[in-house]
Amino acid sequence: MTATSGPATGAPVDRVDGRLKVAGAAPYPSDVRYPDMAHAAFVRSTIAAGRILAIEVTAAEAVGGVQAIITHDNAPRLGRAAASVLGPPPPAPLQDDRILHNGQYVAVVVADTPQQAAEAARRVVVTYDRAEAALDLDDPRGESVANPFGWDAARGDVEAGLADAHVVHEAVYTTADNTNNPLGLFTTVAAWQGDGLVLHDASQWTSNVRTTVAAAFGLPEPSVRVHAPYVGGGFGAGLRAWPHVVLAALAARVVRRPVKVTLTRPEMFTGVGHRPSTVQRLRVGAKRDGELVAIEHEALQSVAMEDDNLEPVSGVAADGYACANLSARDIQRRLNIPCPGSMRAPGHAQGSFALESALDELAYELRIDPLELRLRNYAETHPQLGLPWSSKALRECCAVGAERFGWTARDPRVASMTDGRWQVGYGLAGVSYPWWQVRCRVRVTIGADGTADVRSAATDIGTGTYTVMQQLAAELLGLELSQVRVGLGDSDMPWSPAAGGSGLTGALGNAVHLACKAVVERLGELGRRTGESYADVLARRGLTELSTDAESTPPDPQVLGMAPSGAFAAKFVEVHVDRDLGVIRIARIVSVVDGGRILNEKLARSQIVGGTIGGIGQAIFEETITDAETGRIANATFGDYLIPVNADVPDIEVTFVGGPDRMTPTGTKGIGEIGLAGIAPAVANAVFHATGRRIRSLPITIDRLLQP
Amino acid sequence: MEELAADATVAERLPCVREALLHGASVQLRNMATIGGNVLQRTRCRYFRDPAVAACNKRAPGSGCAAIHGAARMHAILGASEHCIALHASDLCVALVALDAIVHVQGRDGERTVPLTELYVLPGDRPDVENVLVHGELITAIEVPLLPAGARSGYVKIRDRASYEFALVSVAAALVVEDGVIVQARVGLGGVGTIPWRARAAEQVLIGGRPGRALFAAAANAAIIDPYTVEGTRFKVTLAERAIVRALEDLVA
Repeated sequence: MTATSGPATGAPVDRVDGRLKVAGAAPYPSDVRYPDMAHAAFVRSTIAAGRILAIEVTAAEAVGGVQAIITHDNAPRLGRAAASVLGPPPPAPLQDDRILHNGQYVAVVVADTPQQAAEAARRVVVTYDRAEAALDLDDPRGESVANPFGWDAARGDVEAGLADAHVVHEAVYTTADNTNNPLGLFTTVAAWQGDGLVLHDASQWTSNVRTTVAAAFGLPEPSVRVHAPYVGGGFGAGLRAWPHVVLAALAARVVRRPVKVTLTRPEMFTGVGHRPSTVQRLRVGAKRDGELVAIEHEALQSVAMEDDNLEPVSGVAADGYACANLSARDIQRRLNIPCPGSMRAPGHAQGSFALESALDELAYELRIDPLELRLRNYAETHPQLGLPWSSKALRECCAVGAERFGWTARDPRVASMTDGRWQVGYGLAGVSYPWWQVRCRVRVTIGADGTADVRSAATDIGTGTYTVMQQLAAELLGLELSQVRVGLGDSDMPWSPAAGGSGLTGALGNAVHLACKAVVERLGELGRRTGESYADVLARRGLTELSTDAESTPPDPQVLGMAPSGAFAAKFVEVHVDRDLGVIRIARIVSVVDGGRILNEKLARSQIVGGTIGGIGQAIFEETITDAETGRIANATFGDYLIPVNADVPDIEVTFVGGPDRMTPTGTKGIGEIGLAGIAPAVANAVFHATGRRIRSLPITIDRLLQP
Repeated sequence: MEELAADATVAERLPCVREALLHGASVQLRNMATIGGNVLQRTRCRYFRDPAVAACNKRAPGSGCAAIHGAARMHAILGASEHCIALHASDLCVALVALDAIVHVQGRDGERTVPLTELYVLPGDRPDVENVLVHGELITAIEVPLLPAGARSGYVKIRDRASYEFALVSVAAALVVEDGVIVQARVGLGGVGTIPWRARAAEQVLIGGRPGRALFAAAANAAIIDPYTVEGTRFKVTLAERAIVRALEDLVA
């Protein structure tokens, strides 16, 4: 089933950085040390809205080793970069006395050791003039922003479609705030070198950090260099240069020493984004035979008072199924909360829960098998663009998944299957993940010894980018894997988009493709003879190296005459629910994924497994809780914010179907997010099948199941 | 904790202690953790632990309780009041209070013993006072009387995750059944009490009765007396009752 092509790609090669990581030798930002490095710690607001009246630092300054305490009173004014493809950067920190959320940085303490900095930060006394905060998504005082991304979709006439329907299902679905929580606490080390600045940062996007920080300090971009060769996970939290990054650079400038800051786990809950909560209203109309005739999906989500987040939720309804009449609308409500940000499958994770739950409910109302309902409304062409897909093997995902899972063994009646005290349920969801690609540059250099270097500012946040790019370049250049080195995570290398949006493998891979082709062509122009080694060509021509830059650009669907496809998947889940106690256990999960051409099946499988575990978290565990009175995150520790542990993770079966996508030469489709997408609704649908209880609110927990 | 969990006598005669230990912490933590430390552990209440929260009667007497209006899911419903709903999160101690464990204490002026059920002080309006130990006293030993031969005991722990989480509700239960009649019963509750909770009223219902779902349900009903619940903890009344029934059913299965 797995798509493979060529000798180097497709092979389940071990990750090339695995040995380094296992040995603790991979230099993460937190491992960076400078001889005279100082350490910073933050003082954070304990109110959600209002003003700072005074900041008393005498006791803090008395702590030994304290070098500086920076507040809005003594911080310089900082600039703000123009918007990136993900929107504007966060507002510059410490610019005034206003408090917009609990956890906002109000002071930075710099000291000789991390312990001194933390102790002094605890001794800073801040007094506030507290104002009423808007914290609840239902709070009408929060400003509402309609169509915040300009991506609302409509086709046909929803009201006419609903009037024409035999069955209309209408319901409200809600999802909780979730926090990304990469294991690696985000660290920034900032070192000024002359007028230039070097940053070591846990970032998914070095080029963006450079742009943000250069604008903050009014520097030309080439004066800022950002290193992120290894990052301890991101899940979207590292897509922006958050205020702590700018503050590390500011602190280093103030004390004229390199400064390191490592966020604490509670700070990771307020300072680097989170998946925003949603309230989603769905109206779905169908004919008796299951044909969808109308979908209305209105998704309300939270966002910060003065910062933005690109989070398309309802778009899942626009792209998923053939349905003539559709309205998909997003609304953001501004609240006094830490700014949300992308978290694996942003927007889609919430939207898919609502849509795929609603379709399941409709299937029961119509007495149609949930899988059959989806196939009856299969989108043969892109429903919004009206163009043929560049590739789509979702039908195969469904067929292969149903067979491997044993879907036909399911008794369609709810609460009909048991295993002792456990109620057993089967559920599924279909996933059509949106395509995303941004231009990307890369440099491929052949050295005098005939080996190749591939360099880009792109990051490998643990996904395997180093490995698959090495495989791809080796194949395209006709070299052994060991003859190719991949250098990533350095903003001085050619510009790259983020490792995010399931977009980097396509963007970087296609750039690598172009560069390698150009190098091979150039070698031909240099008179390379058949079978002649690259080293010999260069030697014969007196060259020490041969280097080519290339840029991939996202194709235009209208020019191509086809709709660029993201990944597709079908997810099948078996849950067990204790009939008396409401305890939920996931028994098994089968995922079948059309990810286009798979460059490395082992790493691809790891991506899907990891995403699936994140999906289990979203489904039954994860909920970032905000205190209604103070806006404080009430469970900002790993003891209180639950993510799955090994014992919660069942057998996860992953199968890849489909083949290379025809839109780009590499034929890949991003798979970073498709693993998570669809798990939560498949779990919810399985819980309904097991118990007859329809839980329209995530996470699905014991207390929700016990509610009468 | 690991030594106690691995002890042959504990495994044979006090299964509820062994199970509470095994469910109470991962093996890495058990290797590090001590029994005395477990007995005197502080509450996990995030409002108590976060100094940024001003209102905490346990930390600053008279300042109020932020938890009762906050995210109170991992909080107590028994022994709780508007002054404090902080939970004693131990698993082990739930079994130990059920078994009438005795705490040996060394003070400056000599030794004394305190039944574990009397070591803890209900919070009342002084949640900062947690136990009867005075300054200078040290726990030197904990004595656990063995159940009679033939007794059955077990520990049921209900939580969201399959592992590595404090209890939403837990039950340590022991029964001695002779000629089809319960002659001895012990019920301890965790995840619900401001202190490790001994459910004596439930035991009284059980003693003299014949094991069965009806009797167990009656005992469960008697166990939860005057709960103090807030929005986040209301479900624990039902969950605790069902967990008691489950624990007792498991013993006679």
